[in-house]
Amino acid sequence: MLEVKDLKKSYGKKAVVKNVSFTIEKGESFGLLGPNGAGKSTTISMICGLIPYDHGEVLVSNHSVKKSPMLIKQKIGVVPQEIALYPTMSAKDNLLFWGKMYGLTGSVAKKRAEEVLEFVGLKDRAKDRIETFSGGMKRRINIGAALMHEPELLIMDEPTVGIDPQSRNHILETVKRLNEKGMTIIYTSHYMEEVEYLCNRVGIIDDGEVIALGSQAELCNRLAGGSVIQLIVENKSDEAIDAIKQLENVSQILHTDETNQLEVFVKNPHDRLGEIVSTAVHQGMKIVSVDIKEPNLETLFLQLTGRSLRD
Amino acid sequence: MRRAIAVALFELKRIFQKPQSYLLMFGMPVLFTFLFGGLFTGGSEARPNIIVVDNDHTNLSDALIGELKNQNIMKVSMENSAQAMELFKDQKVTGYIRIEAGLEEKLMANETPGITFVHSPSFTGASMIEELINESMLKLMVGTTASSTYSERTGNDRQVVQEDIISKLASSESAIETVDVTKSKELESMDNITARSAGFTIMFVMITMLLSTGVILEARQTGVWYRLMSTPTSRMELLLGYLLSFFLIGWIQFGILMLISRFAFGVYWGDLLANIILVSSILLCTIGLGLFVAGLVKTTDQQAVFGNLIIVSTCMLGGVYWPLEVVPDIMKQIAKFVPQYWGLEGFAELAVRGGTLIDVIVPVGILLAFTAVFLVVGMTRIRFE
Ligand SMILES: Nc1ncnc2c1ncn2[C@@H]1O[C@H](COP(=O)(O)OP(=O)(O)OP(=O)(O)O)[C@@H](O)[C@H]1O
Ligand SMILES: [Mg+2]
Repeated sequence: MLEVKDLKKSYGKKAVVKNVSFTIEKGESFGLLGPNGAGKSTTISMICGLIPYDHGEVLVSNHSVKKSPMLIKQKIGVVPQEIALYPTMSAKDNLLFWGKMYGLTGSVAKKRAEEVLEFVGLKDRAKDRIETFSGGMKRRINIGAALMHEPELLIMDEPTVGIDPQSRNHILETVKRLNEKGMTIIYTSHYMEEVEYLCNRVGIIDDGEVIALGSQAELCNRLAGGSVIQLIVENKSDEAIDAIKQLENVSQILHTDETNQLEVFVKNPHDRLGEIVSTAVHQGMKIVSVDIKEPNLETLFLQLTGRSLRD
Repeated sequence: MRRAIAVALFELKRIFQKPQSYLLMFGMPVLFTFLFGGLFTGGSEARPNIIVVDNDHTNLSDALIGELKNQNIMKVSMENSAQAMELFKDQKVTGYIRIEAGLEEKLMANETPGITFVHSPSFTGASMIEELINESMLKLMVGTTASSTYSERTGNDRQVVQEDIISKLASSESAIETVDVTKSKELESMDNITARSAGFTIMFVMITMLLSTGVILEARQTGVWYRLMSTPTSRMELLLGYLLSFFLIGWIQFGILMLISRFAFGVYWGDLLANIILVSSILLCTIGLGLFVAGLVKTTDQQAVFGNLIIVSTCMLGGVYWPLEVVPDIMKQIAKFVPQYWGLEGFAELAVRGGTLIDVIVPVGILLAFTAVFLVVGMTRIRFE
């Protein structure tokens, strides 16, 4: 369905996308996870033919984006990161307009607008202007506009930014339903839980590079240390950290100077917890809280980059 | 092409859905025309000022003049021929009526008597005055014929006299010959209300076009442009759609304002075809200017500030606010470098001098030259992506 090979893009001297490759099969739901400024939006814009790439190739159903952009744009539905709607027009007028831009004729567009409004659960607000909508409702219409022409591939760029949990759940469910109906989906986010919930395969992108790629299970297995024990302490000392590092099954400890937080990567965390805590206390650290994190995408990102996905 | 039309119709719907559009597009220019239109006329009177030139000097011409004076629809004053033409040229009077010598002989011989009525093509009361002259002539003719017939056939049957009079009445359909100034270099400038009306129509169409062309900037700011570019719509279709919407919006505004000033202020616009061509070229020039400004700035706010500054200042230079006759010579020369001047020139040609398409070729050509420059600069600066 989609093949992205060695994609590169620079703005001036700044390399924004350095080396991005992945493939997506039909019917898959692919998550692109990465922190702010990782290059997610830039990658997506290149896949959609919105900005030219410096190097590499993007193939959608074996057609090159560079060579036949119009053909590919017809197959793809894009949900931009921003709300790309006309605020003074009604939800329905917006949908009709975008439908026509995707080449739908008047009657087909009308029928589709009804269906899409029903699907995103805003049928009763069809005639209201977008500017009167809540943030979550706008997001839903923003998605709806990309569904008008029933695309084969739906690309969503952080569709849940800045909205309440209720709207967020609504959107996640909507996306899940679309995928279950057979639509191929690319979902970018810096919320690990969203990607975990929606996507069978995940690419983790940081600083313009894909640093991990695979199914969720595969990725979690890659975690050398397994789980993470997070300790928040009052007084951090290098001796204490070294002592913990010597313990059995501990693979890595991450900490920064700014915070009083230690991330201890460890196998069988429940077995090792007592020993780790007692070592810390023995070394004179005062423990404020202890938290065990099961292996997940967040801990993987932490291990790979030493940073967390969000601050 | 279907997409271009969809874009154009959507933009039309968008602008006419906002109530404030009506105020800006129609309310403001009418108000400005009304305010400034009365400013330089110095209390113009409702009654037209007509001069009568009497070259006949008989009882008959006196009687005609008396008839005209008795009617209260115009101010009548007497001048000689040369003075009348002078005053008309200076637009001090609405028109003049010249009575040629030999009125009585012509009437007796049942020929068309030599009466000429000269007025500007924009004078809407002309037909009424024509009719009035005709009526007065008819009365005189009846009287003349009756008395002469009566004196010739004294003692004859009154029936015969009456029949004769009636038959004479029937044959006197065109008692006078009226002459319109269809094309005359005698009149140089527009009367104030016409000039202000044309000027403020141009100005507010420019402001509307500035807002309209701003949608491209707005789209870039809101992300709508991003989505537009992600649809399978070609750049050509998109640009065509936008240009079409600007043109349609501009024409709707221009047309309605011209109709309003026609009926509310009695402005006469002249030849229809020539007006269509002239207005279209003014619109193209204005769209060009809007895109030009849009190409120079980044946000709609900047465009509004810059654009309005340019529009208002060039409108002042070009003679929109006040007649150029009141400004120094140097300013008159500078005026020729702004498009509004040529728009107004075109309107003057049509409305005042009764010109046709051929007579507006120069203003239209210059406006299109402005358009070409604006568009080349403006369009090349529109960035896709
Ligand atoms: N037009 C541009 N010119 C210069 N730099 C750009 C441009 N667009 C993006 N960048 C830079 O490229 C980097 C990646 O941006 P991008 O928008 O792709 O990140 P992102 O992963 O989508 O982040 P976010 O989660 O904040 O949306 C950023 O550092 C950004 O400053
Ligand atoms: Mg982004």
